[in-house]
Amino acid sequence: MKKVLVACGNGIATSTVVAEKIREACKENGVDVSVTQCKLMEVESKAEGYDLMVTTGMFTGGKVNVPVVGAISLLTGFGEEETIEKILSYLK
Amino acid sequence: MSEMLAIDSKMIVKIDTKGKNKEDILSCLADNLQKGEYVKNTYKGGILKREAAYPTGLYTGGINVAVPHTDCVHVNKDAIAVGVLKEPVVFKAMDNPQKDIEVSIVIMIALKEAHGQVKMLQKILSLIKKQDQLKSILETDDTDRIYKIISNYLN
Repeated sequence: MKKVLVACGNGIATSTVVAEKIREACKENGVDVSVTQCKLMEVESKAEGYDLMVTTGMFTGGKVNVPVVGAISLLTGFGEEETIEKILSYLK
Repeated sequence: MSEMLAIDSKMIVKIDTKGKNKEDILSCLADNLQKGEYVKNTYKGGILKREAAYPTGLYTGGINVAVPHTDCVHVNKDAIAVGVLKEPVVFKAMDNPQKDIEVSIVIMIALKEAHGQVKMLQKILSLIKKQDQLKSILETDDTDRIYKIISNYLN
């Protein structure tokens, strides 16, 4: 099972929508995934052990040993498919 | 499981933006939510603080939208407040806090539970991609009509 951490400003609204999209895309592609949400400011302390981090806001914080994908496109629609492909490529 | 979010028509306003900045717009909408008792008096501070650190401007390529919100602890009851701006006001972009975005519609979200209202959030975010709906909202001065467009789309 792959683990994804989705972060946004408050960890409650845009990360919720993005987390759902990731779950759906993984389901459609037969990828077993567990998605957790958190706030951007918590990322450094929480990122350990995840396979991928996805953010809507800008992640500027320090060291994280996990690949990071910016997913604003999942909210605005521009480049949404490419972003989903990119996310899946880290999880397959 | 959170209850269905009912949209209160009093929370939908058209704002005359002359001389106003984004903080004024955010304060206006937060004040409305507080008057409607959807949020506590700490909500406005939470909104302003959050927007300054983690902006919510979304670039849609046409009519841009901001989706300000803050922590659940400030909220009494799930609600949204919508501000339709007569002239665009500068917000900062969610994915780049240095980037200016001219926003015409502000959808302020009040959530009582962290992962509640998934369907409503999905609908709000899909609404921002519908430029034709956003255009209809911007073009009318009639807040009843704006209310109908929004509640039809979100229900």
